[in-house]
This record gives sequence, structure tokens and C-alpha cells, in this order.
Amino acid sequence: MTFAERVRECVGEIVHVATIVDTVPGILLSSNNNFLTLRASSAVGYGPTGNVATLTSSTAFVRTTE
Amino acid sequence: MANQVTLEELVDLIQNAVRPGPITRIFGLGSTGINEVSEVLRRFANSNGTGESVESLLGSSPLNSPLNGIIGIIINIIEGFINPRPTLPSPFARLARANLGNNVLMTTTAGTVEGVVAEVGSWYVVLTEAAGSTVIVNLENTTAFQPYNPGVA
Repeated sequence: MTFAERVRECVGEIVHVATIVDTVPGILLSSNNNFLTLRASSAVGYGPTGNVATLTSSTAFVRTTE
Repeated sequence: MANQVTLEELVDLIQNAVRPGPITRIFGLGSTGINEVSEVLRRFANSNGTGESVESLLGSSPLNSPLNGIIGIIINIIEGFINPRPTLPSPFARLARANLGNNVLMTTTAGTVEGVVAEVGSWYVVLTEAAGSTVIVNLENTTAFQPYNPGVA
């Protein structure tokens, strides 16, 4: 199982995706070898509500709290 | 911004290269072989995202086995360009596996995380932090691994 496949098991959960430049909080929508996609909201501090795609290869770790 | 090349365009490029070009000479393909290679490449392009394996694509083709080998090589090269993935496990995976159930510190490009090793894959480690949260660490962006027991000096 790859990192992306393992992260995919958390789809629907609130996660924090940590990259070298920032940590993006949101609800995980999808995960594949190219991108992790989150629905971020202003309530969790990452700009306006919307989908954020982070490069899977640049992701250091994903934290889940559920 | 550079134009993005789609999978179909990439396959077209390969097919054009396969025709009377250098790949044909390297693999010694005749015209029948070229058509069969093109057919499997087309099928590969159409299968993108369906998870269909190279083996199943080749298995449904009427090709003879030497040609299967050649097509498999070409498809693997294309897959490598489209979706490069490390094939060997990370060197950290062995260290992490030896520390299953132990508290560790892992330094990543986004900082250090600490927790008990709960699960180890070829390119990821799952840690359970003291607060109860779960961290999935990407070993591709891990720079250090250290068994760490804060209770021991």
C-alpha cells in the first residue's frame, strides 16, 4: 500500500496536511499519487472556503483527529 | 506556462515513434507487430484511471509472448513518466518496523512528529500521538528517525 492509498482511508475525515511550507486543515475529499484534495474552510483558517489540492509527493504527513 | 501533455497525446507520440522509427529497429518489429503495439497502447490510453493492470491488457490481446514483453516494457516506460513511483521500500521502513509499538521521533520536511509506531508500509508510517491523534508520515519526505523514550535519560 502506498502513502496515498493509506491516506485515502481517511476520506471524509477532518485532517491537517503538512507540507514543507504550510499546514492545510480541512475535510479530506480524495487522495491519489498526484494530489491530496481537501475542502478547506475559513473556519479552520485557510483562506476562503474551497477545495485545496496539495502535491502528494510534497506532503510530509497527514494528521487525523477522529 | 508549459502546455500539459495528456496521456492520449503521449501515446500518440509513442505510436508515431514506434512506426518506422528507432523503437521499431531496436525491437525488430514488422508491420504486424507495429499495429499490435499501437492497439495495446491505445487500449492502455483508454484504460487510464480504471486500474487495469498491464498484465490484464496484454492478456486480452492476441499477441504472441515475445511481443507482449516488448509492449510491457514500453507501457512500463510510459507509466514511469506519467506516474513515477518508488518501487523499493524506503530505508526508514525497516527501522520503523523494528520499532513497532515503540515511541519514536520522526523528522520530516514539515517538522518533527512523535508517537507510537502503529503501522508500517513501504513508504509510510502511522504514528499514534500522545493526544490520541493519528499521523500518517510520508517516508518520501522523512529525513530522520529516532527511537525516543522520554522517560529514559
